[in-house]
Amino acid sequence: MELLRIEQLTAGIEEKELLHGVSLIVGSGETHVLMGPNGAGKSTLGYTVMGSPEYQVTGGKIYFEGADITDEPADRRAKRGIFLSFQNPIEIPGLSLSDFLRNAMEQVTGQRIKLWDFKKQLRAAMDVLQMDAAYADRDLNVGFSGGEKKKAEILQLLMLKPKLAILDETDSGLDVDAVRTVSAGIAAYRAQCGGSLLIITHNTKILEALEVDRTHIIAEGRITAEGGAELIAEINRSGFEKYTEK
Amino acid sequence: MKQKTQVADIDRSLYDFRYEEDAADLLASGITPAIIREISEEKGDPEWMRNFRLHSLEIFAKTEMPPWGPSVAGLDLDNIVTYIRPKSRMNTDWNDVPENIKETFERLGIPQAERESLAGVGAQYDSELVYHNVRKEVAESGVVYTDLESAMHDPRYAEMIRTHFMKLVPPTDHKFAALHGAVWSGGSFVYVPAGVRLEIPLQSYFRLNAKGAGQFEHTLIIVEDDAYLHFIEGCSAPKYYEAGLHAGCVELYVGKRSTLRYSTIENWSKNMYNLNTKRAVVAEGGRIEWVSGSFGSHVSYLYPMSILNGRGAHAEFTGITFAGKGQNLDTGAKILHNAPETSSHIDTKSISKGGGISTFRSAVTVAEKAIGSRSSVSCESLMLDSISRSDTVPVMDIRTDKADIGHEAKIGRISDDAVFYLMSRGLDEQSARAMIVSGFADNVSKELPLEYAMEMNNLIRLEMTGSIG
Amino acid sequence: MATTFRIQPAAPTFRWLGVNGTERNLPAQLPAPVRISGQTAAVRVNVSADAAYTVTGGQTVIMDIHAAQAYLQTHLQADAGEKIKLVQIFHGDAVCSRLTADLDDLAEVELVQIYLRGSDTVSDNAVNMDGRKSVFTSYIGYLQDGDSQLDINLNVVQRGKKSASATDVRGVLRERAQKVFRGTIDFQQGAAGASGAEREDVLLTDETVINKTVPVILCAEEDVAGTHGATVGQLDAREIFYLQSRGIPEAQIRELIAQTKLGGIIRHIGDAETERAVWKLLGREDADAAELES
Repeated sequence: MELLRIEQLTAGIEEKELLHGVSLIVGSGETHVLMGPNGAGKSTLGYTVMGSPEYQVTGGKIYFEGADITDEPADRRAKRGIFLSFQNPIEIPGLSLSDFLRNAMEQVTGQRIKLWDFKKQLRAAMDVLQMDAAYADRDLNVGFSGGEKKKAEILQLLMLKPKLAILDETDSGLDVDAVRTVSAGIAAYRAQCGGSLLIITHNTKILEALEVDRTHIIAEGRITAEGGAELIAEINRSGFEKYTEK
Repeated sequence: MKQKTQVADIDRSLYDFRYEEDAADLLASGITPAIIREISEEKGDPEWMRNFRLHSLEIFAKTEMPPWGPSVAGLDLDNIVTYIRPKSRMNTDWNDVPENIKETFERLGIPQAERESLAGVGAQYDSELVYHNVRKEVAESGVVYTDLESAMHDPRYAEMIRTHFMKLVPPTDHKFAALHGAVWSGGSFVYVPAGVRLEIPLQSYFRLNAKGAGQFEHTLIIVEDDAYLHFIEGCSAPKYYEAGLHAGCVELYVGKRSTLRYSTIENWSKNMYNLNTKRAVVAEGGRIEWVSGSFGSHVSYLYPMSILNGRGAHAEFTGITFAGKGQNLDTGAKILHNAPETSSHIDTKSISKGGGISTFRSAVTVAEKAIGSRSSVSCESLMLDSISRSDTVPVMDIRTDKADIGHEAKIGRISDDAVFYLMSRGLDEQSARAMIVSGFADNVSKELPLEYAMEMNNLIRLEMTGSIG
Repeated sequence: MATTFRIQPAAPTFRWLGVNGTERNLPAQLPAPVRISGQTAAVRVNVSADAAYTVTGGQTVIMDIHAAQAYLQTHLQADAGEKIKLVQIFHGDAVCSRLTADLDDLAEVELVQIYLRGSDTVSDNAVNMDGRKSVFTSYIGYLQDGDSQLDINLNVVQRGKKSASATDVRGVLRERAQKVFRGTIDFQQGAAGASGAEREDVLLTDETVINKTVPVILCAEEDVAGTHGATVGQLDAREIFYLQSRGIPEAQIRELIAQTKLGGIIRHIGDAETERAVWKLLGREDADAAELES
């Protein structure tokens, strides 16, 4: 079943167009990989699907489960089941990770979550990610190391249980152990909710444990190649060069 | 006990030489309608200017001194000579300047600087400009650089002067603005036509030679749209036992998308009361950049103000104040954000030593309509001993939610670690400290043309390495 | 006959900014101070009319100030080595408060002040740190809306060697609220080794607010370290998007961040009952409390 459909999307910052007509379809339960050189428009695509006000959509449409979400604010998209893990999660002093998460969960599900239920779920998710329980009471992302921030993003993924998770360079800047932990978190997400994944990366380490259904290569704001998992091995061998030149 | 570097007073011999003025050339001291009429007569003012002077005098008489700031009790306004009749007419040929005046400026390095790096220069000696010159190619581009009196009498500029003179700084602004309006004399008029970018600076140098006198020059600069100007102002005076007064006024009009950089190295003698008012108004997309070094004076009140009246206008203030023995220097900046998306940045350093008092005072005001405006203020103070004072008195007045305003202030002393670090690399303590203080003043010196940066660093080094204790 | 209550800033400045002082009329007769001393548990004080207190060392006092048109005078006397904690929750109308504190050698005073939605509150706080190694810590939070006016003056005078002060101010202004906060660190000659830090962080959420922030440092001693910081502004767009991407609507994010701002101060009250009461005044019902009790 079709979950996300991007049709001829053009978007950019102020005058500068960064995506020049991108089309992409992600089906329910599928794992997609979006690869491309730096500055190709990978993150732009992720942020635009989430509805970041920083990027303006100038043409094309984004559909989620058949509904046109092109003009919806980010919180409406989150309620529909879209999740974006940020490359640089924002620090919010004074707002504890657990208060924030519970609030977000109540918003997404539209109902109150009892304190004990919440704590139980949180504990379980933090165990998967080998996170110290003390992080729950710390201010959101404040003073977290790079690895801790990435883990906190995956923690939110596990708690919010979206239908589509867009992971933007979730593996960048992590050591081997941390990549393994984050991979375990992603596996747990697949096992628990069977949601779709759109993984933005240029590192294939994180993909090893996953069965990739489809790979999209983006260069200079355009999809230049698509294929199955075999395309990843191809990129590993010969790089992006042949996909960037016309 | 820790050995502290003893810091002596600056060697002022460069600035302290002077020539006697003729008693006959001084107008009687004091500030009365009769004196004002006499000045006006002497200068051949148009009628509107004579009336303006008399009106300003009335305001002066009614206005109180500000209830804050350093005391000006040592200033005897009844005995200040407000006008000194010039020895010579304004010259455009250096050879025509009278010998002793010429020698004064030559010792200060003014004509040499002109030859080397300036597009034009003006020199004021006591009450009147004695020399004014601009390079031929600069004049041909339509740039006007002359003394304000000449401009006022020139039919091409008379109307421009009348519509801009003391419109930014009205005589009602404060007591010394009113005094300025009554007794102003000398100063420069600069006009930069639209689209003209003057890549080399213009400079005015102000020298107050007569004792017990005041200097009240007025600088009026109009930069039209899409233009660029760097204006440099230097001031000095020899030391007397009678206090001197400098109550100048600077009014700057910056056109759309234009940039005006206004640099000042002030080194008045340490018995001078420097009560100067500077203000700029900036149109859409324009920039005002103030670079200000305050080293001299006994008392200073100096807060250049930037009025950001056009969308996207920007103000930058970079300043250093060095208050030594017997000095009370109250300096800072004012910014008024009066249009959307305006931005400002204030970066100041102050140093206090030998019983000197330095105060950083600022006001950043963001009006209701200044949505999307940004301002950042950073002020750092260095205390070199415990008989000095350093105060920081900033105010932020914010009247819109769509603004981002930041302020950082820091006070402290030279870090022992830094001194030790430099000493471990072979420097003696005194040089290490001098080097750290010079580095502290780096924000200003790197904004100045090389020769001025060197002059400023010399001033700091002299202050820091006078003698060894 | 009325007496006058006057806030006089440590360093007056440009008159047109209107921050050089505030005056209110007071009743001629002020009550004699009540002494709070020798208590082992936290003392809770309800301030509903003119009142005066003197608090001695070792005490923790929590003041619920809900009076209208009243004058409150509080003196903290922290003798050598003693500690005092004072919590003041302002949610009345037209309250004038004057707090004075004297800190002797090694004394410690912790002050928590929360100003909520009260209209026209004037609060003058003078802290004298004469004592060597004395420590003053304050947490000040405010949330002002409607047409409320808040005028706070905090003057910390550090004369004691190695004395240390730290002030953390966080506030939110909404609607047509107006606020002046003058925070002064005054290092006097002889305060060798002293340190002082102050921050004010103000969130403005409506275009009709007026915020005045006056962070002053006065210094007559070389061997000190003083810092002052202030940020005044709006919600960060990136912050809003991040929270929004997790499903929280923008209106709620604004409320959440405003509460969060104050939460950083409220957590220093250190008394669960009072903290709950403050959250309730902020409109956040504590649904968990019922669950925890059942």
